[in-house]
Amino acid sequence: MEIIQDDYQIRFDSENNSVICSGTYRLTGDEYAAIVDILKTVADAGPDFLTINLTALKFLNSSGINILCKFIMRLRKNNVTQVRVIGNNEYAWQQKSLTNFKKLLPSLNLEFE
Amino acid sequence: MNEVEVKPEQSQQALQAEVISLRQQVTVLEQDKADLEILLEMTTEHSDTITEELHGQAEEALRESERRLRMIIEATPVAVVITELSTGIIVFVNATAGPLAGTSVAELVGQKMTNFYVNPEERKALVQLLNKEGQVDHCEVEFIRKDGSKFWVDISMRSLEFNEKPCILAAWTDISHLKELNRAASRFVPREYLSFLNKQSLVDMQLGDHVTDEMTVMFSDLRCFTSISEGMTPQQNFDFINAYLGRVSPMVRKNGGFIVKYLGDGIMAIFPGTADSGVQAGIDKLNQVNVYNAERIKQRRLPISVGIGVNTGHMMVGMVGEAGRMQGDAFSDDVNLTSRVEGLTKYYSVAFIITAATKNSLVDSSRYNTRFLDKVQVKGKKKTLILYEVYDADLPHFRTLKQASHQDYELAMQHFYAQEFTAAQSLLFDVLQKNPKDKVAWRHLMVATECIENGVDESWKGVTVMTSK
Repeated sequence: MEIIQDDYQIRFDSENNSVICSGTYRLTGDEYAAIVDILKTVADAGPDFLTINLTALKFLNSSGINILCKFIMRLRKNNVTQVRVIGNNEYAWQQKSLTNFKKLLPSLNLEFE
Repeated sequence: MNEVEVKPEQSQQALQAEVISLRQQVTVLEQDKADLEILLEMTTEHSDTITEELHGQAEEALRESERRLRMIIEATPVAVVITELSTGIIVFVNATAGPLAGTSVAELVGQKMTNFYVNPEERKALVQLLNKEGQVDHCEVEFIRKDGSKFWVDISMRSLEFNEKPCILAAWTDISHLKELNRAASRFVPREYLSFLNKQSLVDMQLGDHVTDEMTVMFSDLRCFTSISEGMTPQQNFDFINAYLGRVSPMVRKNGGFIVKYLGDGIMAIFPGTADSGVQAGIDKLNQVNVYNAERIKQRRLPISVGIGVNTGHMMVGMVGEAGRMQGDAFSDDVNLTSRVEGLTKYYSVAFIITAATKNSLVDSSRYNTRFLDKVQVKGKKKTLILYEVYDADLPHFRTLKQASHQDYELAMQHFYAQEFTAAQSLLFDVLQKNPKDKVAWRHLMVATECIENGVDESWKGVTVMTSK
């Protein structure tokens, strides 16, 4: 499961149970639909653990943070509690916004590279 | 009333289940509400974060682009000057402008641009041109520094909004060096010569460029230069030649001619206009020599004498030599002949000889004192040349004598060519009685006497045949 565009990419690595988002997420609600589908599928499969790798995500707009939050909420609903989010120190917005994921899923493990 | 009968225990259980279910729903709703609040909060916060970040990035990009632009403007070797359109006050200059204008950048800002124009009217004209054409490109303007030194710039202008005011952006390139070089070059190849060959600049000059037309050519030479220059040091020789050439050369320019080349102390000049200009230049040159001689005599130095020959005919004037070394030159049979004619001034002991071709081309021959000189056949040429003497620049005493004897002299020559030698002889005696120093009359008298004594054959035409150059 993946979407590869010039500006943005998303890929689910089923071997490592890892969702990798990269590029610049400057899309509208409609454009996010395909990404939302992938995230829903991943969450509803209810894996034992999951890694969300955002190290190459340069930019994320408001609609983007919205879908990521809903994804975390869906994981919680599906009792996927072992969630690891990997961010990137270089992107200042990640340090502020990703920390808030813990409010939605207190067991979430946040790391920065 | 048709009511459903409900057992009290049953209803109790159902109610309890209902309460539990409702409580669960409330928990879920509370969770959802909390989630929504978090979602709203996070989205808002994230939105603020990235807005701030983007704004910062945009500002940084702007600063960076400004910094880069300033760096380019400061590093450019062209002086950039921005002035207010209405007041002409300088509001911005780059680092190059300061040293060029002979002051610091800080001192330049606030000054009036007109202070730098040698001719402030020029700025007005340039601004008008800018308003009309929308741009000004490569105009040459002379500027002056505070210390009075002048410099030339190539100026281009554009209209510009600066600090929210209509301004002029000007770029100056220092072309003083180029101007100097051009000025230096024009001493070797005069501007008149360039325009004569239809050339904009020396750069366009090619070997073989030429103009063919009917023109008047002048050769002039110092007589007895060798005897004067003997006993002079090389430096004195140079000083003497340059003193002489410095006096006579401007007379060529003054009369619309140009010097094609110097031949030692000799001058070869071309007059593309009327033959009159060549004759007038010759007279002016000889008058300059007269003034110079008066000074030399006062300084107890030998006077100099100059011979001038002028001819009019078809000739080619252009560039000769090889690609690496060329000079102006003129040639044609008529040019060669002129050099011979000039040489004949020595033979006839006159200062200035013109050919019939020149005399007949004069627009107003009555302006000049000319008299018939001789019919000659120069060595190596078959054509008979009719020569005239121009005596306007003779010293006043001799000129008056020649004028007084003019009629007798011309009549004598008519008799001579009609082979009435005795009549010619008698008239020439009259001429010589008035002016015993008239060497030309003496020569004709001697020839006429010889003709009387020896007689002439049928083929006699009275042409003097030159056996040497």
